[in-house]
Amino acid sequence: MHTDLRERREERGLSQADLGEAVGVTRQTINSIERGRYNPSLELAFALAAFFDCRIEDLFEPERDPEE
Amino acid sequence: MSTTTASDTGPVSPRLLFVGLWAATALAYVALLLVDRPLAAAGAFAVGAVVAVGYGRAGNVRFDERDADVYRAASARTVQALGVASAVAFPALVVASALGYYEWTPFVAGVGATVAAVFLLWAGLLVAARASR
Repeated sequence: MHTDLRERREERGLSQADLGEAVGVTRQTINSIERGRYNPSLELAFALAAFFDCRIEDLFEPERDPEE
Repeated sequence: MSTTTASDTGPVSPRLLFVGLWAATALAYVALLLVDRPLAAAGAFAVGAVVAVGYGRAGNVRFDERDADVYRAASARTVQALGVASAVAFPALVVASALGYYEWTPFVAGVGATVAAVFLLWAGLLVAARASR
């Protein structure tokens, strides 16, 4: 899953721990999401979208198949 | 999974301390068993478990959905590895025994019974999980 979560977080001057605290997860989870190593649950995705006042689709999009 | 507010305790994170408490509890338990102090071992485990659970429930430790996801993946791989190993090992021992090359020992028979019980439990919990979804 591709995400611009890091860019949005840095625009607001937040650390990963700050964002994690705001949406109820650990700093490690935010880090894993930003690195594309973990896909958030629907609940967490909605929480992140609500935090950044945007739609889930603005935050996350599926990885494109390299063969496409 | 619900989360609680984490508070840093300097260089040792609350999560690391929580895991460390359980590790120390397990080590004390095993060490006391090895020196033939079973009652002390059980007591040490009980005390350690109470301390670890109490620390976790005091709101110091945060385990979130990613941790749950990691635990589920590790659990699934454990069951898979156990399944593959036992699907190969035990039929092989049955054949070897039938051909007279192997004689079952109480220990191995006990391991086999335990593995069978684990998979019966897993099958039951799988049915229950399916029924709830």
